Amino acid sequence: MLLEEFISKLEGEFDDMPKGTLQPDTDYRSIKGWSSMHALIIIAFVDINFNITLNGSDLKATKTVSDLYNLVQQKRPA
Amino acid sequence: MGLSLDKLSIHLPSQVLTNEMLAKEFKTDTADIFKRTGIETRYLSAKNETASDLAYQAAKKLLSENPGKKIDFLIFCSDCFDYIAPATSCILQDRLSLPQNTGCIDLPYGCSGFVYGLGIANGLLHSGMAETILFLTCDTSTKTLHPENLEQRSLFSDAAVAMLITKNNSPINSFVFGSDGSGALDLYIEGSAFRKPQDDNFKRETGLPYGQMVMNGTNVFSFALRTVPPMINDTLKKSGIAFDEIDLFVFHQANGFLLETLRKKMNIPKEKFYTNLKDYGNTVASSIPLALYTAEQEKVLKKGMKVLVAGFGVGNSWGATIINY
Repeated sequence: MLLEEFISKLEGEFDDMPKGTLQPDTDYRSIKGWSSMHALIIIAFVDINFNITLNGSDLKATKTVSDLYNLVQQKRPA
Repeated sequence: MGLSLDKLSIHLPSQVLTNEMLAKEFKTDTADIFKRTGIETRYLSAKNETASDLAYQAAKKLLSENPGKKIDFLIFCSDCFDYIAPATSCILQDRLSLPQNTGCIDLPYGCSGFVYGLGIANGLLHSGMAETILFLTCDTSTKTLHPENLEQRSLFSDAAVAMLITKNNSPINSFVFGSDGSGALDLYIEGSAFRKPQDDNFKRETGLPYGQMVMNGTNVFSFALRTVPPMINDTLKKSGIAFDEIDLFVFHQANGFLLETLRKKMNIPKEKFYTNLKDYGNTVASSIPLALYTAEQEKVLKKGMKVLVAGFGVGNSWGATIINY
């Protein structure tokens, strides 16, 4: 999955998020109304789409949407 | 020979906590609380009402509905015992007027406790040590929630379930159990016993006499996603039963979003995935048997069904088996 598709699908997971809200350099924790629920949505999204289970520490190590995408790529089996 | 679990009674505290009440207190909206949890109503034990008080009521009802049963063992699964010692099950033996040759076991487990209790019951029945087991589950976790913690207060709920377990003619149950203590402090009750006792600051800041629940929701969520699917596969494999042969999946009623994510991940059809979270909340060790009870009341669960039950949570611990209902 390319970064653009990753972003588009992730946006679809958040209720009422206008298309284009997330950009590669968006600090995803700064999105309006961010809460711990959003972290769970990200973990569920990555788990279901990539079969990779992120934990709290994994998320803490990322800041932007691009970081998140790169983390998933790193964790994908070779 | 398998085990039979076809007699259940429940007892709920009289006080309820609705989304409207929480929304008013926390100045948020009910839809948001429901979206985060999948829960509308929770039950709260009264100030001086312990888990054993609630379990006693459920057991009294069950025994009056099934008179003349000789109880060989009483297992009480809870994280909220009357005392560190003696075993609360001994106190319940006396309160329930069970004979003095009743063996009593406290099982200090939470979300996975129902399956652990079934496993112990299975061992007692098949070793010939018992013919009938009274199994009680109850937690009063709401007493350990900080009043300002909306995340926890919108999830947890108190309820008791009493069950009679006997042998039956179905195939012997296969169990899968597991533990990962490295995540123990992702969900625990701080200030509840010897390791981290309460000091004056804790008492002043929390006002929680039994300790305070501490939960890393993100890690607990990840733990469940990582652990539950392989546990289900292992249980099916060990039992020699195909995924499609399971009539109903009843998981620990943790929270709505987690259950739906697990269901999607494992491709479990909606009609085979029972939840009652909306009306009862997360009742910890009671959540699976309470779901079995309500599923039967709603005629979703019927005699002869193969039911895969899976508990997971505090420990971290997990357990699953298939009940021939």
